Amino acid sequence: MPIPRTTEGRLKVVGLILICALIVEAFSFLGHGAIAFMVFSAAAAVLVCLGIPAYLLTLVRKDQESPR
Amino acid sequence: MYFPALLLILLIALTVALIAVFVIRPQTTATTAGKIAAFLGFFAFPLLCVGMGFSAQMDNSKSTRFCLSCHIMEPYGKSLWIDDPGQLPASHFQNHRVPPDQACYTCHTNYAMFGGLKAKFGGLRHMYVYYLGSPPKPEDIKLYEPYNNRECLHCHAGARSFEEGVVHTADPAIMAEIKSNKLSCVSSGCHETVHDIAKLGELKFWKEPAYANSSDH
Repeated sequence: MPIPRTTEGRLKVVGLILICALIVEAFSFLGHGAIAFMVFSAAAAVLVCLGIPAYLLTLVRKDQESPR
Repeated sequence: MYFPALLLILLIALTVALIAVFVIRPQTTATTAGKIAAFLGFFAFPLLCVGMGFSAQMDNSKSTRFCLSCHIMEPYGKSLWIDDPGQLPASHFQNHRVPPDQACYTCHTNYAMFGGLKAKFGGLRHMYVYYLGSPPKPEDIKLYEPYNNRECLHCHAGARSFEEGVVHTADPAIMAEIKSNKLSCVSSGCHETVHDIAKLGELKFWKEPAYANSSDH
């Protein structure tokens, strides 16, 4: 998958990461055992921890589109 | 599903919907209001969701059903129903000397500073061994460290039944040794019948009356 070079493209990727994280988190509440805990900590929490810094990076990075 | 979990699910749904708006129409972030909404959707709400989720998972990890969700723990769960007052965990569980829904955690946590954290790391180690290592047979499971009297005294210290117990007060040295953990409560011939899973097949089990929990449901 090519790395998006515009803020809008990056926001889309970050958004998809966070949506995946939150859906996984919601599903982890269906279970009550150790697997649910592992799904939460190994997938949902990790994806949120990736998504939030990626969003903050998106804010400080400039667009890399070539000027027309 | 209990109320905080329902609230969390609603917050997750709201956050997903908000993020979806920005994924479908990223140009929405061009306005000031859009930027604020994006900050909430991409930063504040996900952080809140994961924080609340972590707290809920931590609470859930203290529950008896969480501990018994691994098959290897089933005999230990069954031992809580042995119909014999001499069985220490069973008598504590059946008489609600420990909260029945947090029976394992109440006795197997560590009541020292950062003890809860230590217990959680112990739990992670259990999960590592169970899913990625080679778990022992249930009857071969041993505690990482000898059981510390501190965990018993967290509740029993100061209680009349303990402080005035006939055996406990038979010799003044006994009480001092118990309180300094030199004389173990569970392995000194006193309260040593703990999770007798090797004899589960020979023992009788107590069945909780159906009306016992009728007020809870």
